[in-house]
Amino acid sequence: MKLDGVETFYGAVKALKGVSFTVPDGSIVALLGGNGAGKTTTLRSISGLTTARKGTIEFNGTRIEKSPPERVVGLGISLVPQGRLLFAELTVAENLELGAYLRHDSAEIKRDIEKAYEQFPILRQKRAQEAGTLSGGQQQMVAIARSLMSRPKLLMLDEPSLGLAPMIVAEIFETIRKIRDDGVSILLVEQNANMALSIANFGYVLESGKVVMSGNVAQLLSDPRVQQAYLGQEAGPAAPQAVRH
Amino acid sequence: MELVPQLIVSGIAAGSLYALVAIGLVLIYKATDIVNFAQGESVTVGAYMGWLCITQFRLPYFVAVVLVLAGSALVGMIVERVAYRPLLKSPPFTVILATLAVGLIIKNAIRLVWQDTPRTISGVFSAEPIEIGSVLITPERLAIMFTVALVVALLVLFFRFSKLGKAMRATAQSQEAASLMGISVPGIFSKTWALGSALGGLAGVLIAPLVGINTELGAVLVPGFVAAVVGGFTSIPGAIVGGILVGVLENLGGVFISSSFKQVVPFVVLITVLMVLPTGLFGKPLRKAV
Ligand SMILES: Nc1ncnc2c1ncn2[C@@H]1O[C@H](COP(=O)(O)OP(=O)(O)OP(=O)(O)O)[C@@H](O)[C@H]1O
Ligand SMILES: [Mg+2]
Repeated sequence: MKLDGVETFYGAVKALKGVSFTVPDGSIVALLGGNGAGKTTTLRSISGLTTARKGTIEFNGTRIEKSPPERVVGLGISLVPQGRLLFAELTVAENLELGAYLRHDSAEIKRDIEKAYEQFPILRQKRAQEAGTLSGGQQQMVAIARSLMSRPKLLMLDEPSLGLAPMIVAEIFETIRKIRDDGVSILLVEQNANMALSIANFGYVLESGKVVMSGNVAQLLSDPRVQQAYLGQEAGPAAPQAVRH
Repeated sequence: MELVPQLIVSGIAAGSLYALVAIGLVLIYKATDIVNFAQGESVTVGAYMGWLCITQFRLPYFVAVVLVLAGSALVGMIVERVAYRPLLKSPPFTVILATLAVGLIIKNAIRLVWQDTPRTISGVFSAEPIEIGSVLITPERLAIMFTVALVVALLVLFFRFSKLGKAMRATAQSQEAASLMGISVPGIFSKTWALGSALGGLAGVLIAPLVGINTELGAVLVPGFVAAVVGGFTSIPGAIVGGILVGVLENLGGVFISSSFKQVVPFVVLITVLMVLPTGLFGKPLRKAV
């Protein structure tokens, strides 16, 4: 997937000021940045929840910058939104079924639900419970499992670790790595840069609506500016640096 | 024949129609946060369509019912297209006024075509009362209660098991999340307005043989609205209980207070519920997407 010069507005507020980056097939790309940097807006622009005013978004050769969400998901891009947005009053099982809304292969859908329960055994136990009654970690599992039910080629996750206990976060990140290993590309938005870079292949840093740095994980981890701003470390000795934009 | 049980039973018959109107309001409100004030006119349209089918086109009553369902569903889709969709970005109050306006237009269009002359149709069930236990009831009222019960059961199954029903519930909880699943939210809105309006039309064609057909049939919106409020406005079981409650209290009030009090009963119930239980009997604090 490739973004080129994407500009997105909320009313008169310009939230994205020309964002460009690519997500290579089969990789995990981390999109880092502080509060209000535009990470969520980037994912919303890709998934069609907010329409980019300028620039292009291309996925597998198709231009999607004007496509509504229901078309984008049909093309194979699924978003696990910030705050999860589960259907709180529907059961866990119903949430998963709705994830497969555009599919018509009911036998395969059943199999995929089974697979989700194998991946997150606790969800099998809770499958008849309303999703809103689950703990935060369990809800995040439902959100990820629900997104996977569309069999995406690209999975986007918006701060999946937010508000979760460290053990749960580790489990979620392990799951994300496994999903990548199954051949799904991942675009991971995180404020928790340490965790994100621990599983990512590439990273981009967003600041007030612009990509200000990019590089592979080694470059970003050793870049003093990244260390200072996002990893909570003092600047270390000079090392390979990320590309400054 | 004992008076009070008799009043209760005939109140349930009237109340089941209020419930049907109320469920239509609730479905649309849950999906779109809008109270459809044109709902009363879908009742009127249903009755007139029934009259057209039966007396003008000589169709059997059951065929008429099916055509009425389709026709009033179409009315709902038109109201959605005209009053709701172009006003998505307007405050709810504006949209509600727009539904009221569309309702008035429909009502007066009917009046233009068929004037104020009342019409009648005859139903398939007898209007001769039969005795059950200590109460008298006409088979046609029994048929209405039975039909409403059947429709409610079908609705419950629809929302519980069908893909479209689940998509409607999902959309009611979070439109953004629904669209991320691939659900076309405008499509769901249109279908929800169709369904809500079809229930109103059904009420119209069911009541027409009993009370006759005129352009004021839409006034049933008032007890229907109160029934929905009593039930919390977001609950189908609530709307049923609310409808029956209003129907029964109307009957009791009409006999024990005064016959002119009957029309006032829904308002008394409305004010009482709003003062004592503002969220209605089945209302719960709003909990949408988490
Ligand atoms: N619905 C909205 N209306 C107006 N402005 C908005 C809206 N949503 C976001 N913004 C603004 O757009 C900018 C980018 O917000 P965005 O939510 O994309 O940031 P973010 O990087 O996801 O932040 P966070 O880490 O806090 O989630 C911010 O300045 C924010 O105030
Ligand atoms: Mg965000």
